[in-house]
Amino acid sequence: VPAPPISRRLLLCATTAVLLSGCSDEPAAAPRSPATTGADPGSTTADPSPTTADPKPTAGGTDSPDTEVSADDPLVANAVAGALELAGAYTALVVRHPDTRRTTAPLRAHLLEHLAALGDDGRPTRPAPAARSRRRAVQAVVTAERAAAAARMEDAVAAASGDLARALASIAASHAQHAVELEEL
Amino acid sequence: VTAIAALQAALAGEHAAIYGYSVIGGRFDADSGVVRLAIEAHSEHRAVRDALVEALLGREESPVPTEPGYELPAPVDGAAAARALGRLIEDRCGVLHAALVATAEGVERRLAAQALVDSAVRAVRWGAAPSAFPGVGAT
Repeated sequence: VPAPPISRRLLLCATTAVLLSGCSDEPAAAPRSPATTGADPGSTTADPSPTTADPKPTAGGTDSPDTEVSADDPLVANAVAGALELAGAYTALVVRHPDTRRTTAPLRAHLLEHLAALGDDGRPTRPAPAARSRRRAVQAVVTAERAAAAARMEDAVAAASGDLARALASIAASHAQHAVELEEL
Repeated sequence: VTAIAALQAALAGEHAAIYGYSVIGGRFDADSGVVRLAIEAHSEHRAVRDALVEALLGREESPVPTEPGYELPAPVDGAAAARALGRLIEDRCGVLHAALVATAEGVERRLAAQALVDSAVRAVRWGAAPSAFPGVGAT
């Protein structure tokens, strides 16, 4: 098994000095499941969760320096999957209703900032087509943004790392702002 | 920063926010949009303040008291100034709550995370542009 999580974590440290300060030079201890690095890009569920969430540290390794990061990996994967899916939803909205682009372009750009901060370079989920009714299409994205806000909130509360908790809570706040902004469309 | 220091800082911010909104609320016609928003924000910040006080008392800490007065950055002499003050209040509270999220756990962290989200939403209602990282990014 290759070890993408390491470079991912390095990227995380490199790109998010503000967001996630305090990354240490801890050695990579336990190998981690590649399934936690991203969700199935074909998933169409509103709140994808990692398929093999296994936050348990290696046997007997509860005090290893990597425990905290490993336990939080599924939370990072959740946030990545949520952002990729929403980015796809914005694309679908703009394809169907081009006049929404002006309002939604900066919001979609935020999602890419979230992904960069989370150390992910994945591709937005291939979206389902947006509704023909403009109002319903926008409302679907509002609902998805609200769901993402709620999910990131819960993950922030659950995070072992305080810095990750702050990042996830801030991302939750960003999603909540998006929902408000979209409602004015 | 300890969780207690972050709780106290957030509480001090809430005291200031409540003051700021009481100023806005007292200067405009009661049925104006600005006052409606200010009254709602005032009441929400009071609820956060009470929860922070409760958290500190639960830790057997003395909650930081409200200041006798606060210096506003600019006179609140119109709706635009009121909106600017609202954005400033929510920005500052967001930063304080984000710091508390990082240091607190459990119910205290949940309180802070919810307060961060709510401040971010109110900032947009006051006319702020949405941000990628409310309370954390360069504000």
